[in-house]
Amino acid sequence: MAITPVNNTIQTNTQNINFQGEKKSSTNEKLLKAGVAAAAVVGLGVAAHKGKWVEKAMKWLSESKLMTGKIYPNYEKKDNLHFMAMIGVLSIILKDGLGCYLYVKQSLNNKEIPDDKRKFVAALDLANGGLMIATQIIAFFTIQNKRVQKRLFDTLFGKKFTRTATKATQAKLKKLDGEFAKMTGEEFYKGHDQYKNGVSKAFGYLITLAASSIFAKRVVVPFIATPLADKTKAWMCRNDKPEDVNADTKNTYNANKIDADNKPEFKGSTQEQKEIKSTTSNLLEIAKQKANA
Amino acid sequence: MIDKINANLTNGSQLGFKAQNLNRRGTNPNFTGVSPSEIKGQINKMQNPFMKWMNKFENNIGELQDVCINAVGTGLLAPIFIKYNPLSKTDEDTRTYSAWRQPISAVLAICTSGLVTIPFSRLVKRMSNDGTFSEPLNKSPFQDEDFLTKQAKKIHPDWTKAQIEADVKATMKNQEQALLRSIRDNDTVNYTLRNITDGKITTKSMAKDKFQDLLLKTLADLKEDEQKQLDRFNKEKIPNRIARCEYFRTHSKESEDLLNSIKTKINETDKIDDIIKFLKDKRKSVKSDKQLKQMITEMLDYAQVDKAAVSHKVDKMLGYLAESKKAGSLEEIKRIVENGTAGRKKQYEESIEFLKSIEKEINNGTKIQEIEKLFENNKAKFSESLKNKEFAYEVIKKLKDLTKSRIDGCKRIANLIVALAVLPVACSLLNWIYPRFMAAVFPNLSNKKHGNESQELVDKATKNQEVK
Repeated sequence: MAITPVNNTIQTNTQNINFQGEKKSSTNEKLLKAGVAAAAVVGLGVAAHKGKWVEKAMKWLSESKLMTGKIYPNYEKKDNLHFMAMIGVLSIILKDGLGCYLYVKQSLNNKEIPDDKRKFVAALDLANGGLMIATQIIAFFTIQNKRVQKRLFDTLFGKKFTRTATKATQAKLKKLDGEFAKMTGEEFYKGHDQYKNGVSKAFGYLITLAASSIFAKRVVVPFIATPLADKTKAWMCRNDKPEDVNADTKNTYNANKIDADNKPEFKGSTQEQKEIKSTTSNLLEIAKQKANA
Repeated sequence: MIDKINANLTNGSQLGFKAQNLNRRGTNPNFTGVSPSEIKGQINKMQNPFMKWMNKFENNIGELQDVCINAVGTGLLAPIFIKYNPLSKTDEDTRTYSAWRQPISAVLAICTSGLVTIPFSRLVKRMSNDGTFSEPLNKSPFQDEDFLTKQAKKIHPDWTKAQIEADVKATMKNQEQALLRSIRDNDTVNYTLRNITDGKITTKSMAKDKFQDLLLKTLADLKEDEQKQLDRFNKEKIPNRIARCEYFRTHSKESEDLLNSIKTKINETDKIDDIIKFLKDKRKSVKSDKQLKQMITEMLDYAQVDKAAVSHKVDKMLGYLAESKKAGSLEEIKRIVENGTAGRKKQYEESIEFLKSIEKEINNGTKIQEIEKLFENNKAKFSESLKNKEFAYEVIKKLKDLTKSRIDGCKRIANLIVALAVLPVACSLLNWIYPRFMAAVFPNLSNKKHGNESQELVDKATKNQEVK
């Protein structure tokens, strides 16, 4: 009888020592790997800087057939809306699509995120990514569209740039002393066009910022993505076994707002009966359940 | 100090261009020396506070500000709509845990942009200005103001802001003159090319076929401008004038009363504010009548200038009224208006025909000086807008536009490639930082804190529970 606990103690201690040792060596290994990776990145950065790799790559790209044969001729054309739309949508799908795929994949495999929250984080990434692509494509064809922006600008500020208003501005400038009095019509219209284009560009930027960057992407998308993530998570978990939630990280949210301390108990429901109900034979789980209780 | 600035102005610019001290007015009679930016600034001074703010905003918004605004949206707004989302059935802790991913990702976005996107964008700008790029993207004949300012600061760190500004202005002027000379005298554009490996500078002229292509594209723009103006004249100007004259014919009494009352007011007072107030009151009283309202709005625009301008406008309108009253029908009005505008219409049509003939000259290889002579000899029949244009300057404008468009295209594709390359790194970083940040700052939401506690549970289990 006396030998068994001693053996148990020895076994337990040995296990603990081994456990800590493994942990230490794995930490060192991780640190070493990170150090090697950092050194490789720094080395690569220095080599790239010395060898002017980025400049060379950029020059190569600027002279490539894709650029000279396809991109430049299309960018040179005025109001080439079809090509611009194609490039814009392709860019959104590629960037946000790849981003969404990487975020979801890495979140699902990230063991550092608590088990009970990991799938929701990944589901939110997926819903966010999908909605972000959809929103950006809609914004690209509406609020970010140059024609729509011009129409809005003309509606709001057009009266400041009508023919008579422009002529009046010119006359006002001509009344000023110095070189403005001698200013030619072409000089005036150059400056006036620059002013109008500048203000119109700022307006386009502002409405894009307000409607697309702030409202659609940061308000509407998370607002819809969060409930959508519930459904996505449920879909992700459709084949999962029920998972125990750690007592210390268990959710405090209660949809029915029933105070946990005043939870109604059925007659005859005792601690012993709860233990009997437990189907697990795992000692750790039993201990956890006891601790939780 | 002034001597030093003058010395630099005459001795040449920072990039080795020998100063020619050429007077811009001497080469182009259409320029008096007021720059478009000065006119832009002056126009801005006349605007209301909101327009002034928009102009300021346009001048100050850069890539970094853009990234920061987006990051603020991601970091502050998005988490609120995740955490406090009434539509979600997921518990609040999980939502809080997920919401915190947004500000972390926003901080990372700023870091990635600061380290990769913005330096990359600056690199492209530098490469196009210093001649590293080949001709299609090369801006060496017309470098950017901010690039020249940076260069001047580097070469002369002891110079004052005024000295640097003067030097940059002189360099830009010299570059424009040099470009104009190469176009006019040699029918080409001279580029500076920089070798990436050894930094060696060489010069190269634009190939003949490329230059011809540039001239044709310039001509196409001029033709398009004239065509647009002719269309606007036919579709807007003439119908509007017919509508106004017809209104004068059918509503001569109301129009006469209004115009005469305004004329009396103008003669009564010298105070422009009184005239503006009178016009505004009048506009309120005729709100239902679209034509009268429009007339008063036009007069108000002129009233912003001075009394003489608004008086001239009223007289002009009274002239149209007198003529329209004589007409017996709409057909007659149409005939009067068409006769009155025929001259201008003919100018546009003849300008377009002339530009078409120039296209043939360019295709036949006629030199640019000859083309400019043709422009000069036919000026009398041109429209007002074409009269003010000089072909060589229009070529420069087109060259700048084309280079900018190509740079935009190259930047777009390069940015996409860079963004795709950076994405896995940014994503891995977020996945590494996010759970660790949460474990450190919000241990209650993360089970990292309980690593040792689970060990304690194991210990507890071995002591108190006997394995059966």
